[in-house]
Amino acid sequence: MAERRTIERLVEELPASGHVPRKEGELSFREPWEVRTLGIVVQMHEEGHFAWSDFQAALVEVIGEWEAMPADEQPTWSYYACWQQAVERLIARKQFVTSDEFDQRAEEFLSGKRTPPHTHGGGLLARDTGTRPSAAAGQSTTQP
Amino acid sequence: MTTSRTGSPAPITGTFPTSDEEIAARVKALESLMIEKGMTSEDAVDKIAEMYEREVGPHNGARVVARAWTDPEFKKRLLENATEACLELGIGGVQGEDMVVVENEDDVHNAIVCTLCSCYPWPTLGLPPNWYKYPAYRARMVKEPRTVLRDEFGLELPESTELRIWDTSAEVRYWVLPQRPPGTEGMSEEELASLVTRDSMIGVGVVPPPGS
Repeated sequence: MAERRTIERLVEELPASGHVPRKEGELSFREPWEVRTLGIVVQMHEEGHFAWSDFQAALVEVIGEWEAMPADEQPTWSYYACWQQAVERLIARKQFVTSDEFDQRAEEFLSGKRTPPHTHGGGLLARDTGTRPSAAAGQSTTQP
Repeated sequence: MTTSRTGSPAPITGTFPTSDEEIAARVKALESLMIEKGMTSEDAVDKIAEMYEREVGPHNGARVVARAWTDPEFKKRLLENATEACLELGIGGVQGEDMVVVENEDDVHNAIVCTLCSCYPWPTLGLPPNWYKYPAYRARMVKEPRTVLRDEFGLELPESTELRIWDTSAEVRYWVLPQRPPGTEGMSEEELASLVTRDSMIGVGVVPPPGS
């Protein structure tokens, strides 16, 4: 498993290393998907599915395309959005998945058709009324 | 920085996804497919993610809580339909993942678990803490919540407080509206939001008074 030091070193080797979001020197993240992207990319590299230089090259491409966009079309800079785009390209090139497979899976998550593996009901699962006196009378115990 | 581009195969999509929602869906797709193809495992990615989990704060949820504390009408809407109310603040998740907010009161304390997996309201609470996924937390919160809160989280609740444990699932994500602590009169929404902790929105803690 990659350690923080390894991850730091890997990140330093990438383009735009001066633009990596940081807080007090540590890698900093705004959204959960950003951390997830870092984890997937680093882990797949650690497991030998691609050379870091391959990911580097893909990232260079993606950043270059972003930079070349006209200002009114250019999305807000997001370092990890570039990572996400770069790794998608990489897995397409390596033919780990087809672009159709990928787009379809993404669409399933976006539309809510696919949800995490279980679909249990949810709701009020347990209750410890303690010594609360009015607990018994007319309390709703079912989910909305 | 200079880049050189030779002819490259078409990217999977030609455009940059523009919304967090879209990107999050693509990242979920990426992880889901790579796991299916045996190229990584959820555990392995978890181990890396957990190193940085503190970096992703529950800033969105905190904003909602602060708004609810200062705007009674908003709070009513939040308790009636959390998904819609959060959208008012530009906070939303994937379609099909409804949120329900349960309110802590003087004599009612709520907490959330997911007994089958690590599902968690990403749009409001950020990343699941590691312990949230452990059987120790999940199973015990169903059986002996008062003990778990006291022994593991240092949260001692009076016996006269009713505890309600909510099972958050793939379709319905529960989270807790904690009580506003004393000593916060006159604070701005922003200041209030900075006090709100992830643990208080899971229900394993309360929002501490400022300066504590």
